[in-house]
Amino acid sequence: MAPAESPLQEAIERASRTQADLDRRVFHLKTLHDAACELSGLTQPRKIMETFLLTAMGLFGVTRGLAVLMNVQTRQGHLAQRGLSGPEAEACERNLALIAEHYLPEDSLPSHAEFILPRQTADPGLLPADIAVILKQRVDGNYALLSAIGTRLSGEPFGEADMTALLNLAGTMANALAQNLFHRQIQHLSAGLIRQGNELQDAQCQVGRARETLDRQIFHLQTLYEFTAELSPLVATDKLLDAFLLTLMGTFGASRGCVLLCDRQSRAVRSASRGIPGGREWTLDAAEKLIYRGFQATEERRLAPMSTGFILDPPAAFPESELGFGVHTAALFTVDDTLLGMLALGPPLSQSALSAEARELLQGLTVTWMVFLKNARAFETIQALNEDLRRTNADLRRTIADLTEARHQIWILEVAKNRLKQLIQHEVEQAGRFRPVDVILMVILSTVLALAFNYSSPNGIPVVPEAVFQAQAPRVDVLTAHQLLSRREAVLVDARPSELFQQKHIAEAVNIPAALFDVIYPMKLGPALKPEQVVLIYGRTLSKRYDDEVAQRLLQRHDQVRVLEGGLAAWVEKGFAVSP
Amino acid sequence: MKWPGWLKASITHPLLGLLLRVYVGGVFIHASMYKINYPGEFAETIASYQLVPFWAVNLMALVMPWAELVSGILMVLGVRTKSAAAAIGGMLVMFSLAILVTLLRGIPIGCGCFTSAEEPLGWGTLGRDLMWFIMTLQVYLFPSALQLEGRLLKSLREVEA
Repeated sequence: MAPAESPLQEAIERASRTQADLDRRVFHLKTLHDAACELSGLTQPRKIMETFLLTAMGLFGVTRGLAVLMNVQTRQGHLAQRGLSGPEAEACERNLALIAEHYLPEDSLPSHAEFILPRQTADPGLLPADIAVILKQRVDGNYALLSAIGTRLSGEPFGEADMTALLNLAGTMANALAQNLFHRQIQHLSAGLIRQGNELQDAQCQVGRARETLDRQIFHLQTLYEFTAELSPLVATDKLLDAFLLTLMGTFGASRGCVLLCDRQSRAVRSASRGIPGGREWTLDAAEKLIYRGFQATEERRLAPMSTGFILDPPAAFPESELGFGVHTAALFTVDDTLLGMLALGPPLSQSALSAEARELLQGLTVTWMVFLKNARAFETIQALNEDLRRTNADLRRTIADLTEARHQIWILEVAKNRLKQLIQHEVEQAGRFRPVDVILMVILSTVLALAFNYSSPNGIPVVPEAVFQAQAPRVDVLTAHQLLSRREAVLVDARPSELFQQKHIAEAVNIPAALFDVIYPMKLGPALKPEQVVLIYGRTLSKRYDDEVAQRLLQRHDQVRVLEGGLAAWVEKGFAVSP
Repeated sequence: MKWPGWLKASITHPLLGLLLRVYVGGVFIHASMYKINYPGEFAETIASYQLVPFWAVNLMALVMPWAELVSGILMVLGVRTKSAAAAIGGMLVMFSLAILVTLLRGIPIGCGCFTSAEEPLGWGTLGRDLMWFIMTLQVYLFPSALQLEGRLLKSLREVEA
């Protein structure tokens, strides 16, 4: 420097430099202000970063630069670049994760922008080669920002003021990004809230519809439950018909209705009707014709067992003149192949057609009723079978009793047969043989016949001689008798038969046989006998007591009657005279 | 001693048995008739033999005619022929012994075989009873024709079969 320069000139130069410095600062501030204004209006992070790069490149005369916004949690980021070649940009885009890992470690992120120095030693080659300045800073809790600025066209290094301006510009960009991210987050949250609000409204609508459906189903279930409870104690088909019709009319508000049930197996028709003046008696043919016409008017001409089919145009299918009332709703039902029927209801109080839910309820009630009807018929069948079984059991019991009686009789006959057979065999074996028992039987028979005949015969005799029971006549010994005879004070009578008398008798004895007493006594003894004379009687054998017999008879005529003791034998023993 | 075949055949011929059966049985039936109707007279006859205790005379007079009748009927009919023949044979033995004893004792009584008024008892009476006994023995020992019991048993066999 020439010494000739004056202090003024120096002062002017300093003032000029100061002025220039101030101008540059003003320029920096103005640029920063413009950038801040421009960045605040941007809504895209990439635009913000590109605007930052453009501003920085224009401010510092740089031809290239890049900025990376990285989510430190997910390691996903956005790259904005200016002035990079295509391969460089692709390499940076590809190495975003490595760049973030190297330059933006989560534990060393500053809350304000700061430089990364020295760039040459720290750069592993992830960034383009002619990068002059690298800055890093935390944008918010989740994002960090890496900014890289190339060298100046002028080749001048970045001064302190440049660095400060760059830091401020980076801070402004970071604020803009933070604000932008915050706005985006708020918008995201708002969108979430709106979506959740919409979902809530949808859910409320669904809840409302579900509640309506639930209420309807509850009503249906309640109706079915009450209907089931009402049908539970019923086992008769007629009562089930009445209960079914009453429930239908009450549930659907109909004032008239009828139910027909055709049993093809038993060829019977059962019906129930309400609100119809003058009930009609249905025949099987009439009921089948009506049901057949109903089938012609249903959507499906055939019904599966335990199913129901609605008639499309009930008033046309069933004229009022036929059923006695205007049919509003009608349906056919089939319990099984042999049991089918029809239900018809008059117009409800609301005069409106049945809704789908009401038709569903009607089908449910009908199916439930058909289940009970089937059970009732099964119960009736079981009762009939039980009755039949009871009758069969009674017949079986009678048959068993008859068989038992017959068996008993057969057993008795068998026993009798066996005994008769044994008897015959015994008799056959005994035939032609001598048996002592036969002789004994003959004796017993003879004795019985003899006693019976003797009892009834006029010539009957006592079985035992009467003399056995009669008192004996007075006795006299032989010597006394001899003395009496010697003194002629006694008369001697021989009571034996004449043959024995003639064979041998006591001398002077008179023969008066007992058998001929009444004839001989008057002739031989009676007139000559004196009252004081003693009548001595003798004559007895082993088989006959003639003396006692005659003595008893004489005692009836004479007082002095004696029987000779010892008889003829004692007389002979004493040596007294006998004859002949 | 060997019997000639014709004699044996004749003695054992069923027709002879039938003849003797009817004869002996008829004699006993006939003999019982009067005794049954007049038991008192028959009791006197029994007593005249002096062989039966006096307390049993009436009972014997009542039972014996019926025994003769029953055994005689059975013999004629051919029912329990052997038993009937045994009973009749036993009675004939008893009668013969009684006659023999009475003859030996010399008691002058009538037979009383059929009625009370008969010829006096003699050895002819004993011979007659012995002849009846021999006839009865033939009936007892050999089968006779036309036995009712045999025909009845034959019918029973047919029923059993």
